[in-house]
Amino acid sequence: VSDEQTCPACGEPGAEGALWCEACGADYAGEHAALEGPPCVDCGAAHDEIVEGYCSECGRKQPAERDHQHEDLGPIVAVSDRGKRHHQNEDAYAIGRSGSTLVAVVCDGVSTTDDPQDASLGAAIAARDSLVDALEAGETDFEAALVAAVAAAQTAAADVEVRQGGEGPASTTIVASLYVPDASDDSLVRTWTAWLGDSRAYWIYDVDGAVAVTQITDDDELDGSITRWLGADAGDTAPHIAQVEHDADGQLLVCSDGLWKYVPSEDELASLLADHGEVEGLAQALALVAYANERGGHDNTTVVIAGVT
Amino acid sequence: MTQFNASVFQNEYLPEGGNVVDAVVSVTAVEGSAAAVAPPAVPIVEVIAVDVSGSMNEDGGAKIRAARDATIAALDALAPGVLFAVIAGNHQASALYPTTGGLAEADARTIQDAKEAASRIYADGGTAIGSWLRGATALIQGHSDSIAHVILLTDGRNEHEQPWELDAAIADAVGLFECDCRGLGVNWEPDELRKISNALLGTTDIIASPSEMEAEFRALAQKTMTKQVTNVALRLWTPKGSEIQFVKQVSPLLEDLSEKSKPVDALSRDYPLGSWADEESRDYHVRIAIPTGSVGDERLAARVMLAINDEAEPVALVRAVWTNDDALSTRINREVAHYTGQAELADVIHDGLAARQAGDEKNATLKLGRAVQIAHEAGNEGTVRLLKKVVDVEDPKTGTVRLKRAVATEDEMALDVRSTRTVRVERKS
Repeated sequence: VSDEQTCPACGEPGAEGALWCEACGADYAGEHAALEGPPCVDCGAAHDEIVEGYCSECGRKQPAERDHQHEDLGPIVAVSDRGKRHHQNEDAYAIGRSGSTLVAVVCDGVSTTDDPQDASLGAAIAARDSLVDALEAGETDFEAALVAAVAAAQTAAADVEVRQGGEGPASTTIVASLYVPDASDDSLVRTWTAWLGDSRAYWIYDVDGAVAVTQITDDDELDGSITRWLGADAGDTAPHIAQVEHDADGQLLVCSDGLWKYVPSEDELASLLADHGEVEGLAQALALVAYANERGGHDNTTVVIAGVT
Repeated sequence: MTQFNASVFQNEYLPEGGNVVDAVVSVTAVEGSAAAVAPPAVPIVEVIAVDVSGSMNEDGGAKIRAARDATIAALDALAPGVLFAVIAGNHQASALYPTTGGLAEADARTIQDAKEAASRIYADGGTAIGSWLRGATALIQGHSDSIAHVILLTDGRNEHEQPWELDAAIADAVGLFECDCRGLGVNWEPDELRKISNALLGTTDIIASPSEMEAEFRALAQKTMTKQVTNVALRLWTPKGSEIQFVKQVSPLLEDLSEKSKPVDALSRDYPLGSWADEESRDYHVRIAIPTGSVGDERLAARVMLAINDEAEPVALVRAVWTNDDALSTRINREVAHYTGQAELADVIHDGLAARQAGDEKNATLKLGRAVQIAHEAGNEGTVRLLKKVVDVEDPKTGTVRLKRAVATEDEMALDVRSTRTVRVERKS
């Protein structure tokens, strides 16, 4: 994954991983002067027919980059989707790996605050980068690494500019997990999970050929509202931490409430996973998001699966 | 240089399967930045076509005296440098000033000479309004880039030419000049003058008494002097597969522009808006049927542009967002509802007056009662006042009215020609 880049044509900063400049349309690869990009999602008109985000043929607003995103790093995959009711995607994920250790972060921006999409994306990337850097530096105190990562995420979330007279400073939940295979025993995996708010982590495993699920996290939630979060007005941002030891044939599932509100109990989630047992990896994550959208897509949905074989 | 600002008032949310988008586009002309190099001012042409048919001798000469005074008042309102002419119209058009034909440039001498010529106006002959328009067309033809305006006065019907001759004269004048028509007294035909003013982007009104004529002519000429820019068009881009169901000016006057549009390219059409003064503001109601989308999708229903001499600037977007949240899709936009009501008001007045003339008292009472109700609700006091000359109002809230037994013809005609006057929505600052 590349760092934030600058457009060679117009000098505007561009998003990480972008292939062309949002500002002027120039191709970052430099092969083509301009106007390279995806065609209209509706009628297929060429990219240069898209003016200010709308297709000049059929009028369709082109999806924002964050409306639907997915990433496949092999053993860890992620999907985030706007859903059907919200006008933007305020969820964010950031995934990474260092050797065989996998990093999964999911953040869900609090929609009643200003610019929650910036808090969630900033926090997720900050936490992931902090974890990957620590792992690369040989850190073995995973709890300390997670505490530092959540602190970095809090700094990023609190950094979102506060609007005068707005709804309130940008806020987000966070769940950050490390999937750590045992160095000497390949039948053993440990997970460390840190969280604030109501985004969840689950361990998915097999019991006599049937799918079983154990919820790792415990929601910070009271009467439908989250009680802890990251952001400029957050109180205590020291995360809950859970360390669990598992058999290596399981997988770690990290998700926002866009998914689990449709399958709130472990049994319901297990049954959903059994229904999609024939697919795995990114296809499975996409299927779970598609399920949430079929159920109404009332919220943004983000799913990360670690331990894909 | 004049520029245009626009605001869009709409409920952009459509239910699943919905495909019709309503929006009110409020357009205001603003003076461009002073820093810009001032372009040459657009020349103004004012032609006064005044009825000198024999019937103008009626009322003991009051009408023809009023025609003289009103023409003089309009001439006095012309700014120096304006190109002008006065046409005396009966069964033919005669050049009253300049007598040599063509246009004169307004200065102290030419205005004085024109006023002297106007003071000698006498009435004789018939009425062929198309020939007056043809006279104006001949004068203005060489000045197609100017802001050209014609004040047309008649006291009678177009009796001395065939209807097709008038139609042809109107067609030749479209795009060349704007024309405000005034009917003096009650022996003229509102539909005839409306046909002219609709096509030529002007207004039709009644001058019930000769004594009102001078002020009216002065006001019309003064209004022309405020104009800054012409050949303005509302340009609408709409997506492939869509249909513009109508474009109506809804303020200050109701005017359906749908039939006047011309295609610009496969997806864009121009609706001519004529000439504008700085600070002038007009509202348009557009209704567009577009290809439907899935819940969560957004589609542009129209890109609104203002074109001056074919140079278009985008000013606003009309959007469609599909939702399955009924609370959003059933919301009614206040501006759209208001002007939909004002359009219904004009319709029920028209239908009510037609029913009254046909002797269908029941229907006339119903329609005019509904008109009172809408006008009252919208705060359109001017129209309420006009309606009260035709009906006795028992309860404006429910639209309970009785037809008046005796109605002055001029009151009925005033209601007819002024039924398209709308009021604006009160907007929060």
